Amino acid sequence: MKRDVPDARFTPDVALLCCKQCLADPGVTSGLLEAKGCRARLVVLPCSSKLEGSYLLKILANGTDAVQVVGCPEGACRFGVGSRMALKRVERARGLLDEIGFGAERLAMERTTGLGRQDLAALAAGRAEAIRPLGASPMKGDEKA
Amino acid sequence: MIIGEWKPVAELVETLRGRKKVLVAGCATCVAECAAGGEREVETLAPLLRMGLKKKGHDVEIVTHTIERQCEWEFVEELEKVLGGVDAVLSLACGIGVQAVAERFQDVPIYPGVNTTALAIREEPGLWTARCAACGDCVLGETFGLCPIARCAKSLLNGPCGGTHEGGKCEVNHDNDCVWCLIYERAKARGAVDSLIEVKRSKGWSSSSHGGQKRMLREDLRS
Ligand code: SF4
Ligand code: SF4
Repeated sequence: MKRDVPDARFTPDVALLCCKQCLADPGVTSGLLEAKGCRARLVVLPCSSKLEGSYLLKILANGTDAVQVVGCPEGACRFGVGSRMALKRVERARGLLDEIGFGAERLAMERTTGLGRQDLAALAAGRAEAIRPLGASPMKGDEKA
Repeated sequence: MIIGEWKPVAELVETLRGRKKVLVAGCATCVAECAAGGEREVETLAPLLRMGLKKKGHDVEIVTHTIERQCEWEFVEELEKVLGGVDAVLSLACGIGVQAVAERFQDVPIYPGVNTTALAIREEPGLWTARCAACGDCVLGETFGLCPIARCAKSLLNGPCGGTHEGGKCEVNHDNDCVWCLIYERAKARGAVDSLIEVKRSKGWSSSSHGGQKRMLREDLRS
């Protein structure tokens, strides 16, 4: 459900799940990421192909406001169709989030590569802006599963 | 295998509204193969239910457990250890599994999370098609191994119907091959088209689903 007036003080928690093949600097590791307007946490994945919808939904069910997945562009995935299949699972999960009225925008995937810290921060900030109208997750403080 | 698909999640959220602790029970056999009720689907549905219920103002604890088969008493027994405090079970098994769990644990309400749809084969990743309707009087020997009951929209025993669409597609659903075209092609390849000209004997339907619950009894297997 959209709020009429977005809360400007709302600082979304964003999880950024990024395939390591998409990073320009292989030295970038998982951890907090400085990004505008949100608290971003970067998780570097060995490969996006193994991402299950259940992992993404559990992150959201545990109170994270938004999840941004990053996988390789078509043709660049070292697993062939890995990132394409990951995108399909993300799309299915987005549909299910919409179905329960939670907002598909809380989850999204980009297929891009050569990312530096600035690019990663921009992706997290972009996802935070996309969900600002939705407000904070109703699951805040509800870490159970 | 038996196939099925999730009921709409919004419908499941409504069904479970007001429950405090729900067990989402999976089955690792047919419904796992058709991506409806195995561990992966159980673990996908559980957070969705939590979020959907929370969005409607309901806090719920969801526990999950997937057993080898919900359609066999020995395996069903395993659910007892996870039922403590549970006030509803959502089973992602086929209708057989749901009934077995409901019969074994009669004190707790059980709900189906899956609509059981057919006896089917996986054609390719992500596509399953019905191959048998369990009619109880198999005619595959006369139809070159292709089932006209499950695969013809009109279950014709003497087909095709005359409405077959271009490219050998069924007139009722153009996504499906007309099974009578396939039967003809197979008969032709075997040099046996003449056998299709004979009008087929009437099929016995008394062993289908119209005579009440089917029973199969084998005295030699009973102690
Ligand atoms: S003829 Fe009957 S038993 Fe044989 S495959 Fe078709 S539905 Fe199943
Ligand atoms: S087109 Fe073929 S499969 Fe479809 S109803 Fe007619 S005979 Fe049956």
